[in-house]
Amino acid sequence: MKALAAALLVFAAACGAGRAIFNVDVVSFLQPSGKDTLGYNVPAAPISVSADSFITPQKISLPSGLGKSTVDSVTVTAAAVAENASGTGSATFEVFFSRDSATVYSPPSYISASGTISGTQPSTVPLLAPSTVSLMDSVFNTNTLWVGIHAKVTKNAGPALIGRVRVTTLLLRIVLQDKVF
Amino acid sequence: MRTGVVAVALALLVLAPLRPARAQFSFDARRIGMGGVSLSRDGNARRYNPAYRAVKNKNKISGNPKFSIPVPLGLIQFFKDHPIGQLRHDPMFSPESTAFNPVALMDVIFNPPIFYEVRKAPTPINDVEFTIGRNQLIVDLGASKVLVPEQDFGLGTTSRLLDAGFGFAGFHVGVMGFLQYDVAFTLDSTLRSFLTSDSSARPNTPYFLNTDGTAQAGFAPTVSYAGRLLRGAGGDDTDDGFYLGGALHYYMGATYARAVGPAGFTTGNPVLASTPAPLLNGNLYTSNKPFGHGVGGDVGLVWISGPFEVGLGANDIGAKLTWDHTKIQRFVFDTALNKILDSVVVADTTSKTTLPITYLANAALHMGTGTIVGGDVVNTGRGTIIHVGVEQRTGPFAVRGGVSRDQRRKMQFGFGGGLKFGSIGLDVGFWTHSNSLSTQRAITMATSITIY
Repeated sequence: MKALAAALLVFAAACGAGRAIFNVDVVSFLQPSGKDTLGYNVPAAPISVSADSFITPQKISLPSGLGKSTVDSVTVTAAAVAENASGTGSATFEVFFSRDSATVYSPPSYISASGTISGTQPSTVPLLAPSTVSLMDSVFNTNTLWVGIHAKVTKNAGPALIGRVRVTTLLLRIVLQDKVF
Repeated sequence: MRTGVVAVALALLVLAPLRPARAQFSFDARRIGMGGVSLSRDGNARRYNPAYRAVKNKNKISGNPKFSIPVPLGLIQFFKDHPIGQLRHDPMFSPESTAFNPVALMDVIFNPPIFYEVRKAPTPINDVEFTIGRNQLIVDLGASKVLVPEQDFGLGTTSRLLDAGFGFAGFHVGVMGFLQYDVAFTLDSTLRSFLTSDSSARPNTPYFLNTDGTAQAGFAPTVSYAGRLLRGAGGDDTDDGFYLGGALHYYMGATYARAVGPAGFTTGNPVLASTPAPLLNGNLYTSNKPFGHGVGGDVGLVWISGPFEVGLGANDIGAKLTWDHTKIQRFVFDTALNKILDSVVVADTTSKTTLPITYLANAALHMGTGTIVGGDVVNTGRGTIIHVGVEQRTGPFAVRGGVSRDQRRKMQFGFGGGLKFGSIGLDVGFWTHSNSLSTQRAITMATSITIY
């Protein structure tokens, strides 16, 4: 990665005093291992019950120079859907970022969204996070980023709540002020 | 790390566009005002055309300029913007500065600020975007795409470092020193497409530059002749006539080296899942012993008839050097050992190199009404440059104009004027050029004092 990044960033240097912008498609890193989906199965109960589901933190390798760079801004765009098979309730998903895997799920989350599962099932419920969240955080001033996804579902009293939360969009836009070497 | 990579970037930028080191072709505002035409029988003419050895130097004729002294207005502005005492902290020269712009620095190197830049070429400062996915890597260089060369690119020239000797009756015996180098790079089509078409890098795919560089130097005992074979209608008191010159060189190469092969990297699978493997697989040819040898020659002719003068000269015709003791080494990057391995392919063999033919064709017409029209076509080893210019003198005033086609095949334009007071003249010339890292032309204003 270092060699490739260095080779490519030679051209970033050539762009003069402009910025280097990294658009990272995080979902593409999650999909091959199925970490873009979190299944849930909350048994039937006469009371409301909540359940949590987490993915194993996913490592994302970024160009090596990021660790030395001045991060101008970071924006995250995220969206998910709850693909519910049966039952009603609500679903929430949260996205976490960290510089190391051990602290990924330390609160607070960077972005979250929730939706209500109701009516005739099965159904697909969009979980729309704010369209773009601006972040100013040293977490992104690194060449190794860990991402975690947390899904929380709450079942209404009654039948089991079965389905999965699938992350459909998770884009990072990291803007650097030319300090990538 | 940053400094090192910026150094690599600078090196690439030096070599990337097809630009000659001879960007500033003259310090003479008169010549610049005529698009680069030289109307004097200067050293350049004698360098390329051995027949000019037999022609009088016009500079020694009354009324013609003896020499010019540049007035470096550009340096004044440059050092005002970049004080000498603060150069260490000047963003232009400090890669550690966030305002450091390699393109701006290269523009200064390509186009030394001797003269005042009336219109500077814009420096690309656009953003560069990287789109990164698990199996996707797209680079959008934006406006900087113009920096990616379309064809082969590099640097090269042939120089004659010395030419000493003695002569009689048109004959000349001496020794000439020569230095020739040519470094050519060609972007592989996959790499070029990746950099220019916003397409994703593909897994398990090599991205590389093809490199072919040669440098050789030595000296050549030379026998030459230059003489006026036919006299013109003007008689002996004029330069009229047909002149012929030729030189025979026995090249004795002191040393040479040539490197050929691809250099780049091979992506992993997925593209970003593993470290790309450096790609290097080239041969290096070096001379074990001096005295590569070969024979070549120069020829030239000049015809002068009253106000008309034309010349044609070519150098190093048939100059092929044989190096009897050449070592060939192979350099390969071993991905398993993660280092470059070198091995001797052939310890001692024979190889051949060629000196490129360089030439100059020139013509001038002195029209008697104070008008001089001239032009030349010159090739110093890497591309042809064409200049055409005119000067009109009326009393103490002179008006000049000209056009040229540079090595990038772009048309450039010059115009200017001058005032002559006795033996001193003040000249100004404007010249468009594309020496900067930009597709847009810049305009330089040259100023010089001419001594007549």
